[in-house]
Amino acid sequence: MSRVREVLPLVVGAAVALGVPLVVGDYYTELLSQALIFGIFALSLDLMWGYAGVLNFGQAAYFGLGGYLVALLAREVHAFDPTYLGYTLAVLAPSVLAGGLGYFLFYSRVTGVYFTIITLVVTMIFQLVVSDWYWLGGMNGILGAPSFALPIPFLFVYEFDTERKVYYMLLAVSVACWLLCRYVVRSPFGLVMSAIKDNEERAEFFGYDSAYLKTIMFTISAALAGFSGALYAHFSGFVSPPLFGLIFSTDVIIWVAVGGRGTLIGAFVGAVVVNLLKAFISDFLEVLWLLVIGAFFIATVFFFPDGIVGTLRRAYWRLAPAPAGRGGPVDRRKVPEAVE
Amino acid sequence: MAKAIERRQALKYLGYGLGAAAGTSVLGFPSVLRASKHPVKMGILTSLTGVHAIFGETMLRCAQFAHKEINDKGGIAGRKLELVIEDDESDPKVGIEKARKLIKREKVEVIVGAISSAMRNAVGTVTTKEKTVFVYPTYYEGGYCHEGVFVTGAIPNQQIEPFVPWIMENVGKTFYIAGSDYIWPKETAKVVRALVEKQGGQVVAPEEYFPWNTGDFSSLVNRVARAKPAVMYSLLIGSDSVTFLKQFHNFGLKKTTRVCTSGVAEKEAAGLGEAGVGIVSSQSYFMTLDTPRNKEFLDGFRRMFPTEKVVDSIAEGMYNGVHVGALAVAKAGTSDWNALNKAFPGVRFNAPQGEIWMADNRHAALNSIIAECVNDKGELRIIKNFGVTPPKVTCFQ
Amino acid sequence: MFELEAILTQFLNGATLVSVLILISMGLAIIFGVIGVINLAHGEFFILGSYTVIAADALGLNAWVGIALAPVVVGVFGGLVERGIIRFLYARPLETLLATWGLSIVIRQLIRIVFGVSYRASPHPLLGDLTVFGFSYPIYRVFLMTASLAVILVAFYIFYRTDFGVKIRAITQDVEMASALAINTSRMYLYTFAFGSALAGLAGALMTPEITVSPEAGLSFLARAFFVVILGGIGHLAGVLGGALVVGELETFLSYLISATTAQALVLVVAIIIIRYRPQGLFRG
Repeated sequence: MSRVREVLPLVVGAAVALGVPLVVGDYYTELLSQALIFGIFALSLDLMWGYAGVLNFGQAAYFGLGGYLVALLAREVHAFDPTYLGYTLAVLAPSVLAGGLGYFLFYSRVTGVYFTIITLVVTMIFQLVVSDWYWLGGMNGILGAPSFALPIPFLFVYEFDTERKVYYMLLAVSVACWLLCRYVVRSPFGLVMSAIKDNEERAEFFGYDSAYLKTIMFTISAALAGFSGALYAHFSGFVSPPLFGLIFSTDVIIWVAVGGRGTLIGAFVGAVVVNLLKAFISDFLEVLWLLVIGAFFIATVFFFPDGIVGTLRRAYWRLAPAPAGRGGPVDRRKVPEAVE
Repeated sequence: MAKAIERRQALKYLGYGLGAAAGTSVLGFPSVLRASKHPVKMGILTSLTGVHAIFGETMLRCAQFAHKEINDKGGIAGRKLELVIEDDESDPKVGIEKARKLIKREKVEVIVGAISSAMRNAVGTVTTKEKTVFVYPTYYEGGYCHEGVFVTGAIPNQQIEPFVPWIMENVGKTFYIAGSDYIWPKETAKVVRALVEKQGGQVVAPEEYFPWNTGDFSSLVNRVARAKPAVMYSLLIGSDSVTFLKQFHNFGLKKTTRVCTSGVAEKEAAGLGEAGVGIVSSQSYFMTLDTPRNKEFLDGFRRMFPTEKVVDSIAEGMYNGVHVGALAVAKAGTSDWNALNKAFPGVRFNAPQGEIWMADNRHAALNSIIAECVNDKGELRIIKNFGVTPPKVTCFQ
Repeated sequence: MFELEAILTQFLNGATLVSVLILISMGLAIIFGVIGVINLAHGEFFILGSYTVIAADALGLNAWVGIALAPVVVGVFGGLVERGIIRFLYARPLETLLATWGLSIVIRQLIRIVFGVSYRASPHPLLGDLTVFGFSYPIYRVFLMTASLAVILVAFYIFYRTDFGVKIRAITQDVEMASALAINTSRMYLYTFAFGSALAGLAGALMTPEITVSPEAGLSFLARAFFVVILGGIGHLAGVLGGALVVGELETFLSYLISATTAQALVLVVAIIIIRYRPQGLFRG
């Protein structure tokens, strides 16, 4: 019985996700596509924040890095189709940066709020430098990133030329990212991260190198953020400095908090809900909508402290208590191997 | 605010009503006439929230006023004009989203709006791809040459070419140039420097550029004080402009150096108070322009929006943009993108600033006017009106 | 002589910037240090102080009246916010972040509705130069430095010489113990938050002639205050001085030599290095 209960939300969610474009028009399909890209971005933050317990206040730096690399390649490279190179660099460059920062910071025991502040400073530096650098487009940004296409070398290029194709493609990509994150989080590595999040000292006494592990998680998180940035560049065709900015970094934190931190799916829910809510309310209240959004955030804190997904989950499982040993995203019965 | 919402919803229902009327008349009319009964939908995309809202709000009002004028005179070749209003939140990301919404969901024929160059680039990306005409009303650095994008804002040759010689004759020949750190100030500074040096003047120090939200300009003021130029040419923008000019004034530098700028107009002057007195500004329009046409414009505008105090050149550019767009649609007779593109050049409009027209290079021939801020209420009084200057464009973006 | 004047002016510019940073950051530091709350609406409290001066001017009152009213108005507002929102969120840093961010959005829009979206100006309370041995410097900037010093002295006095201060320091060290010793911690938090807010409002009021007053102006001051507090170290007042000194003097000094953008970027990089090597801040408590 509880098997069905576990699977039911997934089935309903999948049905909705698959069926929606058939019901709503092209514009809303496109809006949802954007929400999915932002959802992947939020997912990257949730990995670090929900599962490693470290808040990155500058996640947008990696998003922007990914987006700009794609746009730059599109502008500069004409000898061959840089699509795959773009995605690769968009994943690699943030990884290198995050790896470097992690090495610089985690290994020196800089963590918690101080790490958060430094990530904030990093994003500010990026925004400052990119705004000033003419070759990177300065404040005007870079135009001309191509729309989604899958080049099969020497054969043809498959173009995602309708909103629906883009949506289904992004849906598949989002599911893949989600599954990847789920795998990471439930793997032995993920379990150790949970332990570190709970009590770092104790995990270290067990012999785990928390600095190394946090750096790994940070790298994965940044890579995913960069990937979502690359997706955004293809989706919108235009990148500009606000993509690196503090406001965007704060936005993604809000999405994860609203959706439910530490739930993975909550990242998507938060991104979708907040962006759709914004679009919907601004239709009716041209200026006051922002006031409503602000009030909504405050209300979320009081009425949905675990985020939407967290609150829903608790309500859902409260209807019939789960048998002992189940429930929650991590199966604690598995014993992690010692990691070097 | 409520007025705008009511108006917009009223416009929507008006559109639906007309659509319904058109639908019922389908049966008896030939297809050509049938198509012409549809209202012309124009998307108004501007910043109603965020850092540019200070300009966006008045732009919206001017667009709505233009809309009323057009419909009062019978619409566009018999078709009613309908505005669809969207907020770009001063964020290019959102600009892209809203442009797509206007084109795909609202099916607008023309989009008018955008303030910053980044926003123009963002919206332009969408409109070029979706083949919808886009009219950009804000003064900028020039050089944006994309099919389907038309500009009713001034570019450096219009703002600077008559201005600098006037400054050199009436204020002095030594210049200090500083601006915000992005394309418009840098391109404009190039033009200023070239003109100054050509006429035998001197820019006494290398140009300086400051990132957004620089809160303290005391170092710059110190350097200017030491250099003692006759002219401080400020290319700072928005709140940075106001902060700098306030601090410039507080240091007492206005006694020895005159501030000349192409980045200050009524909105900034309102925030300067007494710090604004004596500043000379160059724009294509000033509210204090003493012509019957401008009076007619302001009277009508104030009757419709009694609480709006100030119309600056960006808002007037928006007003012109809506009118020019309407005229182009009427001239083309169809909403076909190619036809519209051919229809824009040559369109003439009797703007509040005077008669303007669209040149072949997709930019507008606009006025060059100099004004001085005369009191602490931000009132800009016209010193000289150089008349219409055609736009000179070298495409680089 | 010429060079000396420039150097002296530049030094005073730096000193003014440091003073301004102290004024802006003190409120945030106190709230963060004592209560542990990161108030993302701090910038809005700051700009509300400026708007109090604008409102006073609109009502025909003298600028100094506005400056005197600002800490009261913003302090009371801060108290209301604490009772209404913050009070429920102690020991929940994530929620405080979210709630105060939502609050900052709400305040920004409310300011816009009441005062309009345009830039506002009010008459300068003290325009003119102070001339000593032929060297002139704007007198209002000297006043700002004095005001900043006064604020520091008052804060130090309150925290280290009064009963109230003892209780605050007790709470900062160990809130449960303090509560067990019959200190009304809830009431103390309220006063602290109100005090921090009042300081922010006062800073905004004092800075009005030197900044752009618009609904969106608060954000950049939040960023600056944040910076100073983290660099200087949380939990001790001297930290704010230290942080302000580093950020202020460094930025002023650098921007005299190189482009402003590079200077700002460098200061940010230096900040990273400082936090990395001395995460507890430059000064120990």
